[in-house]
Amino acid sequence: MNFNMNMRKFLLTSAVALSAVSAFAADNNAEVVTQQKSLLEKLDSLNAAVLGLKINGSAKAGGLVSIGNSDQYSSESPTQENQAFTDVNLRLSARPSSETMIDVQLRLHKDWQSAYDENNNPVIGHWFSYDGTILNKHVDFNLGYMRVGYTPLTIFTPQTEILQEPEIFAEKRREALEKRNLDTTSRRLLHGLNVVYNSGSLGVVDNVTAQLTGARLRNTAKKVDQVFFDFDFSDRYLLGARVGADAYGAHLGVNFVNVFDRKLTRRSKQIFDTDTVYYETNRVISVDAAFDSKKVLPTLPVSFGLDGEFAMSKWSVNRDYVVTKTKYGYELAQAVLKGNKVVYARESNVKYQDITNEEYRDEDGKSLFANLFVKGDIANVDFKVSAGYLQTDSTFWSELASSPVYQGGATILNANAMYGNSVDSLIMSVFGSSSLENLYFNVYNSTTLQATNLMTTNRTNALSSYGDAESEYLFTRLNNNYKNGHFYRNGYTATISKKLELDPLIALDPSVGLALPYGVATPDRKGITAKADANWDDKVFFNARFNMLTQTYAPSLGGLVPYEENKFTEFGVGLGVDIGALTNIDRTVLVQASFSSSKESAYLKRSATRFIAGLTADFWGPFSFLAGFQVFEKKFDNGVTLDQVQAVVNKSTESLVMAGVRVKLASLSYLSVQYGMLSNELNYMFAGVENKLSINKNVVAADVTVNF
Amino acid sequence: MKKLYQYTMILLAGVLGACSSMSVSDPYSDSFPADFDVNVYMALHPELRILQVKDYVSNQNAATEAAWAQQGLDAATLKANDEAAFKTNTTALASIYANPYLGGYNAAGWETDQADSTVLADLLAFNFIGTTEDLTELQNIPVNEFLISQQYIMFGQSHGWAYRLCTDAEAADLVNHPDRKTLKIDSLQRASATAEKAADAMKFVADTNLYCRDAAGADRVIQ
Repeated sequence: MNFNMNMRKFLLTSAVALSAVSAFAADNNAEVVTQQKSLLEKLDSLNAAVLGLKINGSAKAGGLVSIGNSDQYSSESPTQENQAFTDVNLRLSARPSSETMIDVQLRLHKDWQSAYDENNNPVIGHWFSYDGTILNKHVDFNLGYMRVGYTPLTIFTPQTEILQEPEIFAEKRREALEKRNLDTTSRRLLHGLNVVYNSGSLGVVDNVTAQLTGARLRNTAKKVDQVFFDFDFSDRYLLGARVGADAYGAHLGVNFVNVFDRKLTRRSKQIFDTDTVYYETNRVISVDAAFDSKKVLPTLPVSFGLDGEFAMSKWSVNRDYVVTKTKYGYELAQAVLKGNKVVYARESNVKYQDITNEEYRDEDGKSLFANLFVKGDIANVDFKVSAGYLQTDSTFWSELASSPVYQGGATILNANAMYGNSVDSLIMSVFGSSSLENLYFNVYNSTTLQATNLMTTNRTNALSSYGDAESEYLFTRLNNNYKNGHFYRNGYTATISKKLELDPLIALDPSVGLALPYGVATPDRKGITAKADANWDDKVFFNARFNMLTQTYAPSLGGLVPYEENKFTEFGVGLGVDIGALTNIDRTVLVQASFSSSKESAYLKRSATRFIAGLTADFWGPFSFLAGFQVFEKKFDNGVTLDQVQAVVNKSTESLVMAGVRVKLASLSYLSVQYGMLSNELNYMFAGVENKLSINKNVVAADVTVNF
Repeated sequence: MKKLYQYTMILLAGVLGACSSMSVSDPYSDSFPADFDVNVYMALHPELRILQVKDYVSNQNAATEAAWAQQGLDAATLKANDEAAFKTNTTALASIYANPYLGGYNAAGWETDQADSTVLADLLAFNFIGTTEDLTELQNIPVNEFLISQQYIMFGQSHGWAYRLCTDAEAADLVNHPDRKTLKIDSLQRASATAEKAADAMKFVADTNLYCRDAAGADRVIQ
């Protein structure tokens, strides 16, 4: 067991060493509890680290029924959607030695409906990586899938922060993220190579770290060239590097990120006459600094410090398009002059198509933030209070720090519903379904693919190329008893969008953050942010948030000036009380509530308020009761004009109630029965008339989950 | 042995270097006979200039018509009016008719030819539409000497076109400077030019002689 001891020691030291960076990155969004939990999980998994092959995972079997009702549904619309499935996630970890590990994660999904229809269910492998800690534990590496976070202005994932989110909600959100290979940390999902060097203690310097990251950002799952090298013309490339040193509780680091399109790769595919192809390059260099007095004044119950970062970005775009050029020359021609043929030389011009490249955009910007914090543990109250200033130019752009994983806009449940009115239907497809539905629900199916359900059922279908020349029995009733396709509807994405390809509606959905939709790196913001978190002996939890930010160049609607100043005010408070712990009854009875509000003073005059209440109680023996209630209201006082619909959305009111019982069947095995009601009301103007789109969805879910 | 190989290579490189010339020859001037003069060549073959002028006028007219159409004007009517006016301007027509680089006709024939519709149609190719100052503009068209001289390289030389006038000595010496019409190459080329079968036309033999033109208008070998 010597090996386990070493690993544990390493994990503890590296956790401390990395906390300067990763905590610094994750701190902004993840709750203290979540962080502690994830650290404990890591320790557990390390304890279990054994040489050879190990299989862990989870299996979940159950069903979900969603019954939608709405006055706007057409009379013939289906109102019910059922899922009944067994979903097994397997994690295979193979350790050839104590230093390296091969990690493969697989998903098997069986829809009960197809129980008799196939004999082969494909296993989806969604994680392949080779990770290790080598060279006397100085070098960590990841090859393949990896999660990498540098700093809030370089590589970072802005997450949705919901204060005191009850477990019944948090678990649903985690599950939806997991189906897209994502998690709740601020690290970004990448695929490539990541190498970190940590020197360990070197005299006065506690640690010197250097990190190199290289990844391909892939936009498409299928290469255009099927057989040649591993590239597609739409692939983009990431090169990142980071160096840093820690001493006397202080950290100083330099981070660099370069994301770019490769012209030569793109040009390997033909550009058509009507195409314009944009090549973006985004470079960010930043200096980050942090200080924590704990190291130099360890005896004080309170420690203080600061962290901050200054970044400079360069975003440049050039584009290729086809132009008609004329090549001048001369040629021999024959003409008849007074009855005689004369051969003479004349000027000629030849028109030809050629690719031309021109500079399109070139913007430099700066961003800066600095936070002061005080934290400590006085009379069993563990607290951290921080306040800071941030200022980001409107021309600042850091792509890998500005792509949130929450995308929203999708209709997850009852997607089969049809609307009686084409305007309602269009609004649903453009503006999308409720934020709460996107935050907490996901649908995963595995469906048999065969000639008849993929395509048409009549004489011709996509497999038949000769139409009437083929027998009509050739492809009908041709069952493919082999292929199962995995399909999902999910509000999250791992895609990293280029600045020019950003969906403007993402920034409009305040589920990510009204004031900072793209995280700390959101362009054109300045102001203050403050937060406080306290935990009294794991009995009472308190959180408070306050942000006051200004956007200088907010688009002015109908004004005489093109831009106006927009002020954002955000605040949130949350309180959690574990009555069980308070009354020493040795059971968790956690009551949680939070309220948050955000609003802007100009532009669309949006405001968002969220109220949450929740209960997680182990009320009797193996039975737990979980409940959550959430109201989320988005208002657009100036209205969001949906150009595609010619409608103006003014308000969206959403609520979600969920309650359920969880029974612990055995160690790590649970039976869960839940009921939820999701309601979404959208007020909009169409052709000068006020309209309302109101949808209620009743969800009943029951499942058995086994972790192993 | 290794050293020997090395020295041999150095020697070889040295020899190659010493024998090579760094001067770059000019493919244009080198291709012409030393005494080629583009103005003389043009005077001997005025049809080259005439076709150049016709192309120029035609291009200009196309541009003018396009401009008219773009302005929403009735280009066809405007053109017809301009051509009618051109046909009535007999002074200008007579000058164009007799100019060796324009009409290229013999001035004496004007009296009879001015009623000849074929000749008039030919002269119409010298009408700039959109202006009445046709003659002045025709005389101001710059001579594209490059095209005239390139015609000699690309076609004239291989087809035995004379490029200068003969000296008196050359003109007098019919033995050393025979008439091209008496040479076999003349009949060979004539045969391929008038061949009806494509395969025969392909049997073109290039003329490798240089020719001058004597006072009688005969092309004579210079040698």
